[in-house]
Amino acid sequence: MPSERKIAANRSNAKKSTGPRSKAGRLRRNALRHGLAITIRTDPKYSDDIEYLAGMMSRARGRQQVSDIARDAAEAVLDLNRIRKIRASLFDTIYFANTADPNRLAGLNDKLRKLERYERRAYSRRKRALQSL
Amino acid sequence: MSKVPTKPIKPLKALEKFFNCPPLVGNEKREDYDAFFLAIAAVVNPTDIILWLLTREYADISWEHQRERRIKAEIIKLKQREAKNSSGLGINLADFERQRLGIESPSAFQKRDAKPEVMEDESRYLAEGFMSGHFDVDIIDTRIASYLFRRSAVLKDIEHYSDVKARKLEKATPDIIDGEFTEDPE
Repeated sequence: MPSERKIAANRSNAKKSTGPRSKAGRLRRNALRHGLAITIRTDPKYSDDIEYLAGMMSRARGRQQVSDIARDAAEAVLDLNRIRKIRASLFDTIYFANTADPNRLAGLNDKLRKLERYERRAYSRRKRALQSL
Repeated sequence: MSKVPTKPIKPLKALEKFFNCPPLVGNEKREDYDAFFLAIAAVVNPTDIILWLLTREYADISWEHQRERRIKAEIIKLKQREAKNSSGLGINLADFERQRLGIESPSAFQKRDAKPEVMEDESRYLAEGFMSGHFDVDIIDTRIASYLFRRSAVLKDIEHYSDVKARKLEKATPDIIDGEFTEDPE
């Protein structure tokens, strides 16, 4: 359980994170570009799958109730699948589709590097959740 | 594909929905992926849904790792061909190394009046190709290392459930992967 002081610090820091400040920054809409920065739990398209997978994981651990930890694990598994599909589509659209472009590999490398950050986070979440399940 | 003896195994029906669309690219074939995944699953013999998911992840990472290895080989071959086509350009190994380490301004790819030290032609083209593609190759090597790291992490997760299954998988992996990688192209 975090201390009162830590909760207050978190709240104060969260108030500073209000997104892009300049008009140009707001227009770039970075956070909405690929949707990987937001949790898939908020996406109604995935909610049934999360519940279904979390239910199966809970039953595999001999539990009748679906816990939040099982949901976290299911969410991370689906997130990893989603990232893998995005990576495949990057290979298809950048590397394999445009073979005449000499810079295609550099473009692909750049995008894959950014994707890896989200993948690492999803791995950590899944690992933590599975260990506590 | 694999030298590992496999007994027929089928994924849980409940997971079909999630296993339905493997991340294939280019001319990768679904049946090759399925055979690869089932060869790995036959070694692990998953007993519950969590082990099935971890096995799938292990297979996906291994598949992607192989893809990067193939791309790396293609790049080196391509650069070797390019070097062959522009064989008037000589590369001096010492110059190249200095350029790579940023010690001296680039001079390695400049046309030379005198021919560089004589190497066997094909080996020379390969070396030149490797040098001219080394930036891309380095990046791919980093990604390959990252796949191997993640695969080890998944293996540890499997070990958390069954030490025996993890050991069997670790032992069988080179046979399955190398079997897949060394297969002749159609």
